[in-house]
Formats: sequence, structure tokens, C-alpha cells
Amino acid sequence: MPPVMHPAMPSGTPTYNRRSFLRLGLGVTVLGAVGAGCAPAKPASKKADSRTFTIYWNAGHGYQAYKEVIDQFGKDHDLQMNWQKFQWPDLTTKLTADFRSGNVPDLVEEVSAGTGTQYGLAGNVLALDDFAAADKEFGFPGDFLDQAVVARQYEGKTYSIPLHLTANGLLFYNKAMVETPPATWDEFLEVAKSTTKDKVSGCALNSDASYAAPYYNQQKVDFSDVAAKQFLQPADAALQAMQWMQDLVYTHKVSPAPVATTDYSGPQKLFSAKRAAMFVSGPWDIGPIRQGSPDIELGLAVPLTGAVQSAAMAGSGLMIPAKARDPKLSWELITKLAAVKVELAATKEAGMSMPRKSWAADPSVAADPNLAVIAKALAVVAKQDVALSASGKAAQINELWKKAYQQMIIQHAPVGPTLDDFRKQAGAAL
Amino acid sequence: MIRRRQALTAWLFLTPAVLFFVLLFFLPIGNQLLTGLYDSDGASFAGLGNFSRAFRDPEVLHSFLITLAYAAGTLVVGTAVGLGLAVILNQSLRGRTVFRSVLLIPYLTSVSIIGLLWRNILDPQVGILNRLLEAAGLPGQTWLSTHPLATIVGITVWSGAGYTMVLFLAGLQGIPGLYYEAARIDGAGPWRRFFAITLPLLAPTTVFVSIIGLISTLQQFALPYIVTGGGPGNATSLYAHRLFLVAFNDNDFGYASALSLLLLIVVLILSLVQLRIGDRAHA
Amino acid sequence: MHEQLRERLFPGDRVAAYVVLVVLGLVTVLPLLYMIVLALQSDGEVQSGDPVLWPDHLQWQNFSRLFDAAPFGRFFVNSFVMAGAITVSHLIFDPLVGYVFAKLDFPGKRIAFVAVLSTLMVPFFVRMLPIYSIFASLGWIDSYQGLIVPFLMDAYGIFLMRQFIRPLPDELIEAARVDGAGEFRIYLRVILPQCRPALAVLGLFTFVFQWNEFLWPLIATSRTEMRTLPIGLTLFNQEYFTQWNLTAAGALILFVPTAIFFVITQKFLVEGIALSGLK
Repeated sequence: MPPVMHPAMPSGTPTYNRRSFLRLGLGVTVLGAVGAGCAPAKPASKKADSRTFTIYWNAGHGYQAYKEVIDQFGKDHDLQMNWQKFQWPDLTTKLTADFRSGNVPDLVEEVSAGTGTQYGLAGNVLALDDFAAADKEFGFPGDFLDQAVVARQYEGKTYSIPLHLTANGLLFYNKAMVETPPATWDEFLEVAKSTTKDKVSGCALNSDASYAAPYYNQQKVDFSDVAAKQFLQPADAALQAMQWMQDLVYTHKVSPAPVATTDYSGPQKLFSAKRAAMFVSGPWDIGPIRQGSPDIELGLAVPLTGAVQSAAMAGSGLMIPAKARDPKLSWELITKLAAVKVELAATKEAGMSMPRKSWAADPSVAADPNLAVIAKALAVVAKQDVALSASGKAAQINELWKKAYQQMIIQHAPVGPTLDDFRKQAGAAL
Repeated sequence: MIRRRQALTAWLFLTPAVLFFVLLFFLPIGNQLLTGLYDSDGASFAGLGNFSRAFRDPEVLHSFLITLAYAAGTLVVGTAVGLGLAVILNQSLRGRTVFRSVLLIPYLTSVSIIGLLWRNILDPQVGILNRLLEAAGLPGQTWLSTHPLATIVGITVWSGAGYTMVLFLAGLQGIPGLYYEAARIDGAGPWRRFFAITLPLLAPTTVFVSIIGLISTLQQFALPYIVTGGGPGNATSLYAHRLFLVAFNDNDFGYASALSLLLLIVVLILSLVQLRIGDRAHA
Repeated sequence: MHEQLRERLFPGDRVAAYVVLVVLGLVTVLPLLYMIVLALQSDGEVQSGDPVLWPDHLQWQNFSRLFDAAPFGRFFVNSFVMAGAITVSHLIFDPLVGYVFAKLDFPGKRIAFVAVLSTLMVPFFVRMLPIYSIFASLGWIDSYQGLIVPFLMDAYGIFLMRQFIRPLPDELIEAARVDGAGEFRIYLRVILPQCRPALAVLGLFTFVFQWNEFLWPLIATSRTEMRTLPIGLTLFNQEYFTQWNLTAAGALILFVPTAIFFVITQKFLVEGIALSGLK
């Protein structure tokens, strides 16, 4: 208890009271202003705003090549360019809030194919076909790889333009440990077994469920068939693929059990530390390996062949919110950002692979051995079920799949029943 | 006359608070709850469907149960550790101010930093802890995979123990030394005195600690979101995390509002129960 | 301040107490020290997959890299304005409301108090979207008032102050009333001066929580000039990996004002005076 004192009591002066209440009144005024917001809002003056052009972007994609385009665009149109970068989950959260309030940016990077479709069907982003048709020079869809375009279309409308195109399914191997890279599943297991030693694992699985896609794709399994309300079919092939992955960890013990975290870099770090001989991932892991362990002789091989050779498509796109102030202007910036010369500059700068056919045909791309491997992987990416994004339940179903995948691979849950559970829950979500 | 003057003063003083809480709490929350009566698209009236749906949703039920387990674990362990530290540090030990301060630091650190830090430490393959264990010739741990919820409880206790300790210290200092003197004269040993005097007289503090702890643990969201992303599987997908996913991942705000009202009801009931138990213990 | 006399529980109990304290102290401090190690690693060491106990070369430039990469000075100012203004507002309103609930009698008191307490039990993101919509129509996005107004006071602070004020003797107030002091003057000159320890702690907690707040500043700002420090820290993470060294360096910068504030108010908190009413 604080010491109790009787403070001297000077006789009250009314001035003091008034001043104190004045201070109180200040707070009331602030709150009153909030109250005004509940009344029908007058159109706030947007004068200062109209000269700002806001772009939401992934924090990992802030390449100099894009910065130059954006800066130039601002100069040409006398706009104040507001290029905001986020982590993907934060971008999604922010965008969700923006769509609900109507206070939206002018251009948004789309996390992956299908997201735009989901937003578009809810009326939150624009279909871009009319812009593209009016803009022959831009070359959409003709100059873009088919898979990247088709995955963004639904019932004849396109809700985003591909910006990047990459593939998950490349085989990374340490040349000091693996002489010839495996091409089939049997070879992969064999090499994994022979390279597993004391502190080295033959391979390393990822904790993120999206990394299972190349494996089940290689057994000709489709993640979803929304029209038929089915998931991971044919079931026996799906069982085989997931059982095989689980066996890598628990039967053959050639991969450590991954750890549930929110970051995808576990296998890359093990590889960089020379504690894993191989892993399956996408081009994004090339940079960190070179940076972390320049002494590793990194080998990059085409996706494995199970029943078929296959990889999973990844890569962001560009979309325009339905309430963007000047969609035409937004479209113009899309055409500048997704131009082939900018694509080539971004590739040179960051090694990112791109969706344009003219990009793949460029001599600088064809001559690069890594990019050549990536291009081969891009050629075998599996088709996506566009109806899944259109259903609006993709995020929810992916969350269910994440749970099932981690239960099988991290918690060693039996594969068959876990897959059945997933199918049941995903079906119910639709 | 005096009563009227007091009532007038009270409401005058409360005016800013009333405005604030009405405008920035009750109206927005009410608005959200109204959406709870609608479908995810906000167009069609779903009545209480969103509420009954929660009771049939296995993910929600699971998240609710593990949240109760998380809250119980955190409260029991956290209270025990905090009380133990307070009892030790209430004695005249050299350097006790330093210990008290040090133990409080995690409470003042942002939860996102704590989450990132522990993720880096505990990762079985690339974390620092296993590297140290290995160097010491000990077997490595895989707690994040084998005991994910207990690990989250551990991190929560780690970050909150200092705060609980300070609350208990304050409570201990409020116990009149006279009681101990009297007990000593009666021949009661130190353990006896702890259970007969300290613990009962700390009951109000304990009630406060557990209610505030309950309110914050039932709303815990950031820590598992950052450390495990709710995994492995859904082992650490706590209720508020599920709620956040429903709102921002599934875009189902009607359902999310219903879930948040259910949470509010549960917290209120549990708090009232605790208050009752506390009152009885006090009497 | 009352203090329990020390006496032996069992032989060697003092040693045991120290052992417990040192072990728990280390468990508390070592992870935090590890953050410094992380912050001083090179990019290569971070990506290498081998956890580093001590960096080969201390990369002090990681701190300056932060400031080169983004306007961190500006983020710092924004965070400070936001957390500072909210703290001041709490210091003005929380004790006032707490005093009303602790010492004044009026119809509706019980309901009002329960209503205030119930606001503690709703996660922030439940009320976030309606507030965001209103603020957007007011043009308050990307403004300081937009960052500050949703947090002007809160139930925890009010509860803390009520509990602290309640045990103060009523005679103080009665005596002042007899002397003819106005009600606000009584609060200001009689009650508030007694509350210094509790105000110090309230200020510290409020500042620290707002300083670290993430979700609302993320939603309520969309211009770099209005970003706060915790949001700025996420800019270094790449799409598929985290730049731990820069993140840790940023976290240390984030911790500096908290540490200063803690040192200033530490006495009240650590002595437990300020929280003595919470029971």
C-alpha cells in the first residue's frame, strides 16, 4: 500500500477547474469526430489522394528492374508512386480488410494463380480481357505460356496477368555427394539411401504442404476436381505417393522429419549445411544456397518421373481491384511491368523465371544452364483445377490439406485414414 | 443531495469513456455480431445457423479443446512458477532487484520477437539448442514436433513468469507481518505458515492472476501463429487462430463473428466461476 | 515496506534459492542474448544452416543496413508518436475512470463496470474491420489519429487504476469535500498524487504494448511514411526465407525505447508497490 498522506489543501480556485475540464473537453472532441464517422459520411476530399498511385507487392520481389519501371511511370503520369511491400500473409490480411472497406490500392501482386479468380468472382478485382483485347501489342494471352494463363481463367474471363512463373519440383543435389542425379522415384530412393550417413540425410522433405504437389502430380494425382467434389484422385495413386513420402522419413529414414514452422527454408538450410544430399524445391532456393555455402557444388536436375514427369506451378500475377480509381492507368502499368525486356532484366537481377514465350526464347535465357533446367520443369507443370479457386474455398481447403500433410509427414499419422479424413472435410467445405 | 451530486460527477467524468467504449467497442462489435447472423457473403440471413454450425465444426471443437488445455497448462504452471519466484524473491537475498528486473524482461518484449526467437532456438535441425545439446553429448530434442502444445505453453510461461511474479510480490507485501509472528509463537513451522497464512491471504491475487491469465490465454493467437503456424497438423491451432483463419483465410466474416461471440460468452462464464471460487476461498 | 524475515526451511536452502534463481535467470537471459548473436551474423552464416554460436566477424553494419533499406528513422518516429500519444491518453483517462468506479456511488455503476470489463474479452481483430471502414470514410487512413484513436483507453488500465485507488482512505475525499473542493479538483489534487507508482506502471505497459502492436498499423496505413517499426521489420524477409540477422537487428532497435522506459519505471514495478491493489 502506498503511504497515506494528507496533502495540504489550498482553497479551490474556479479557474483551475475550468482548465481541467477544458482538457477533458479535448478528448470529447476527438471522440466526437469519430462519432461523426457513424453518420452518413460526406465524400471526404480525395484531392491529395488522387495523385497517389498505390501498389501492393511481395517484399521478396522488390527488384530494381520493377523499381525503375514504377519510378518512370510516376514521372510520365505525374503520379506519386506508393509501392508497398508485404509478406504474403500480411498482404492477404490487408487486402481482405481493404476489400471490405472499399479503400483499395490501384494494383496488387497476386500470390499465385487462382487467387485473382477467387477475388474476381466475388466482385473484388476486374476481369482484364477487354484491356488485353484492346492492347494487341502487349501480347496477352498469345505470348504467355498456356498453363500460366489457363490457371487464371474461369468461364472465359481472366482475372490476373502472370508476372512470374516458376515450378516446384526441381531436384537440387550436392555434386560432391551425388554423382549422377536420379531421374525416377526408384533411383531417387536408391541415391537417398546410399548418401544417408551418420549426420547426412539423403534428402529433406519440407514442412509446407505445397511441396507435396510435385510428388502426387508425378503419380498423376489431381489435387481437386471440384465439379465432381473429389480430392486427391485417383485414391490409390494418392495413397501410394503420400505413403512413399512418409516412408522416406519413417521407414527408410533417409529424410529427417520436417518441423512445423511458418518458414519454408528447412531443407535448403540442411542442404547448405551439407547435412542433406538432395531436396526437391523451386528456383527460389538457388540464391540462398549460393550465399550460405558458396563452396557447395550445386547440381540442378529436371523433375523426377514417377508415372509421369511433372512439377507444380508457382509464381505470382498482377490484378486490379474493382474499385481502383483509374483501372486504365493500372492496366498500363501492368503492361510495362510484364514487358519482356523488364522480365529479362528481373531474371538477370534475381534469377526469377518468367511466363512469356519470348522470354524463354531469348538467347540469354536459353544459354543459362539453370534457366534451361527450369524451363524444362515449366514445360511439365501439372494443370490446376480452376474450379477450386472459383469455389472461393481454396484457402480453406489448402488449410485442411496443410493439416493432413503435417499429420502424415511430421506426426506419422497413417496415410490412408488421414487422406480419407481430408477428402471428407474438404468435400464438406465445398 | 450529496448522492445526486456524486452521480452527476460520476457520469460527467465517465462521458469520454462512455463515448469511447460505445463508439470504438460496442458499436463495432455489435456490427460484427450482426454479420454473425448472415451468410459469408453477407447477403442472406442465416439466423442462428452460424452459431449452431460452430458446435458441429470439428476444427472449431478441436481448437476449443486445445485452447482450454493451453489455458489450463499456462495458468497452472505459470502461477506456480510466478508464486515460487515471488516467495523466493520476497526474502532478503542479495541481488534480488537484479533478478526481479531480469525475469521481467521477456514480458516487455514483443510477442513476434519472442516467437521468432524461439523458433530459431528450438528447430531440431537448424536450431541453436540442439547444437548445444550435441556439443554437450546429450540427445537432441524435437519438442516442436512431439510436444507442440506443451512447447507453446512453455514459451508463454517463459515470457509471462516475471509479470506473475511481480503481482504475487505485491500480494505478499500486503500480508501483515503480525500474522506470521502470531503463527510462530503458536509454533507453526515455515511450511505450515505458508499453507495456513500465505496461500489463503494471497487468494485475491491468485484470482486476479488467473482471470487476467485466462482472458489473455483464451485469446492467444500471435505466438502459435508465428512459431508453428498452428501445426504440426492442427496441434497448436488455438481458438483465436482458428477465428482469424475463418475471417481472413476463408473470408467468412459472419461465421467468425459468431465464433467471437461464443468466445466472449465462454470467457465471461469462466471468469465468473473463478471469481466465485476466489470469493469462497477468501471467506 | 514489510518484508518477511529470513529463516531456514532446510539446511542449504539459501544456496538452493540461488541455484533456482540463477538457472531461471539464465533461461530468461540467454535466449535474449542469442538475439544479439543473430543480429551480428553475416547473410552467409544465416543461410548456412549451421547455427552459429559466435559470428566470424561481427557484422555491425547490419544495423546501418536497416536504415539504408527503409526509412527506419521515420518508422521510429511514427511508432513513437503513436505509442506516446496513446500512453498519454491512457494516463489521462484510465485513472479518471478508475477513480469513478473505485470511489463514487451512482446508479448504473455495476452495469457500467461489467460493460467496461467485458471489452477485455474480445480479440482486437473482431472490432477491427468496422473501425477500419469508418476510418476509411473519414479519411483517417494513413493518419496519426487513425493509428491512435482505437486505443485511447482500455479496460485493463481502468481496472488497474480502480484496484489501486480503492484502498485509499475515503476520509481524504471527505475532508476535501468539507473544505469545499470541487469534484475534479479532489481527483486531481488528492487522488492522482497518490497514484504515481500505478501511473508509472500503467504508462510502461501501455507504451510497450502499443509500441509492439502489429495488426492495426498494418491495416490502418498504406504509405511508407506512416508505417511503424514492427511493420518495417517484416520488409527484409524474402518470399521463401527469412533474413534472421536483419530481423534480429531490427528487433534490438525495437527494444531500445522499451528498455529505457523500463529502467525509468523499474523501481515501482519491481518493488510491487504499483500492483499492490490488484487482488
